[in-house]
Order: sequence, then structure tokens, then C-alpha cells
Amino acid sequence: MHKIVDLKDEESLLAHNRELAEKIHEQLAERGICSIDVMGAIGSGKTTILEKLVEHLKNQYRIAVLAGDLTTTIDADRIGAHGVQTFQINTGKECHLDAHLISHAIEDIPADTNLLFIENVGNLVCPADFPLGTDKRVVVVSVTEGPHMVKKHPYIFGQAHVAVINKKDLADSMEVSIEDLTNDIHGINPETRVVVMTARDGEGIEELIGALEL
Amino acid sequence: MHEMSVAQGIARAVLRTAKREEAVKVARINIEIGQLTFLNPEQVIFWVAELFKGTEAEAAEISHKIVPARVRCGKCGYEGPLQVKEDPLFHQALPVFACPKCEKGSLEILEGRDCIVRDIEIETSPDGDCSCH
Repeated sequence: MHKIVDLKDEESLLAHNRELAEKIHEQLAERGICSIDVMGAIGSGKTTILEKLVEHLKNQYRIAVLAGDLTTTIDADRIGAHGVQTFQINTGKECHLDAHLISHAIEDIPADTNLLFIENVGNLVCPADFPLGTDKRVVVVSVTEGPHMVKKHPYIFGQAHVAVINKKDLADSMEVSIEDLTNDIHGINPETRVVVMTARDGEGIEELIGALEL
Repeated sequence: MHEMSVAQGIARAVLRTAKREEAVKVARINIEIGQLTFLNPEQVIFWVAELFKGTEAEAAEISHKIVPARVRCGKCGYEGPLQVKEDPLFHQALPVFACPKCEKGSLEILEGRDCIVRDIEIETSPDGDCSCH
């Protein structure tokens, strides 16, 4: 006997992550924690930007940082050296953090935390599909990645509240136009705030803090 | 991307349903792939077929449909498809996360970011195995 069985209400993997992310968002709000997910390619400058952010904000907020990486505690150690609580999440071969990992990690952060940064795994593809329940999402692109990074990864830029264009000081030698990158971002999402930085020298950090409404 | 993880979710849902319904064979499965998942249908189908090997779904025909993105604008209330830009430099259409009507807005995605099994066609007793003869 042939039979058609409807499965449309079965749980989908991506929907399950979104539901978990919504729960995390509620939990963080109840605990009075403002949260920011920092995404971007490998070597775009996420860790350097976080070092500068915590250095500027550590006297104003009680900060915790979750650093996601395939392996090593290099990033967590770098950020932790600035005197803020950091927790490494090693994902092995997984290319992004997901809401499930974060739901466990937030159990470990100190009770008095009021600002949480999450450094996502270096990747411009997968993190876009896996929201973590943060208030804001930041994506970092650097000029050393070439002129087409934004157009090649529209979804992650479309999902970001703030986009950082990093390594401005190298734009001329890379022959990459900051203006073109900015136009590409606004072509995908006119609401995304663009901040141009040379994070290593701290240039643009105050603008970024302003864009994050911190 | 996560074609393999998504395929695992699909295979799990199909095989669980087949068991619950006491199916002896899964003849067909219909998958819906959201436009905004950017999943490659060919890869998803390849992995699903791999995961079906050695199961009652081994011979299943795997069909798929792309579900276009639908959005709602938080500012002007527009509800409908997402804008896409054609750029000859790229093979894929670029989604634009701005409201097609008011060109602003924080868009809420209503459809197009999931990958699900719509339905499956099963056989609940083997062909020709009728006990009344």
C-alpha cells in the first residue's frame, strides 16, 4: 500500500538553532547582559578589534568574552591579557559556533557580567546561518582579503548590524577601494552601519563603540 | 557549507517517520530548500542518498524544490519577495536586504531560510505479498 506522509512540521536543523538562539536572547536579557557576535574571515582582525574594544570598555562594563576557534587558546589568551574574563570554545572541525554551544558557555560566565562579546570562528559563510541570540552582529572584512569579499558573501553582510572595514592603512598598497567596499555593503543592506578602522593602531575604535551603541 | 549536517537531519526525519509508519520501503521524498540557505541542492541530495544506503529508503527518488525568500518590512509593512540584484560578475543573484518598497527597513525573513522534508511516499507492505492468496 502506498501512502504519503506529511513531514513539514518536523523540526529543521536551522529552525532548531534559531529557536535556541531566541531562548539565549531571552536569558541574556533577563540577566541584563548586552551581547555582540563578532564574525569575519580568518585573519580579518576580529581578535585585535576585540582587544581594543575591551581595553576601551573594561572600566565601564563587566565584560566576558567567548572566543570560538577550531583549536588553541591563542585568541582567548590575547584578549584575557587585557584583564577581562575570557572563555575559549574549541569547535574541532566545526566551522561556526552554534546556539547549542553558546547555551552551555553562558552558564559559565560570571553572574555580574553586563557585556558579552562572542568571537565567532573565522568564516564568512556558515556563521550567517547560525544566529547565537546576541543583540547585535558585527562582521569584519579587511582590505587584504581583496576587493570582492562583500559581494561574494552577501548573506553575512545582510545579517550584520555593523560592518567593519579593517586595515585601512593597507588599502593603497592592496589597491582596494574602501569606497567600493562600503557601496557593496550598502547595496546589500542600506541599514548596516559601516565603520572603517585600522584596528592595530586603534583607529576607528571610538566610531565602532558608537555604532554598537555602547 | 553544512550540506552534510542538513542531510543528516533530513535522513533522520525520513527514517524515523518510515519506522513509525511501519514502512517497508520509502518510494520518494520531497525536499524544500530555502533560497537563503544557499545550500547546494546537488550536494544535499548526494549526501541524503549516501545516508539512505542500506536502509528502507535506499531506492527512494529524491526530489527538491527551491523556496523563494519572503520578507516583511518593519517600517512600511511590505510583505513579499526579497529584492535580488543581477550582477554579471557573479553567477548567483545577490539578495538585497532592503525593503523593495520603502528601500529602508529592518526586514524580517518569513520564508526561505530552512531546508525541510515536505512529505514522503512510503509502501507499508511489500508488493505482491498479499496473504489472502
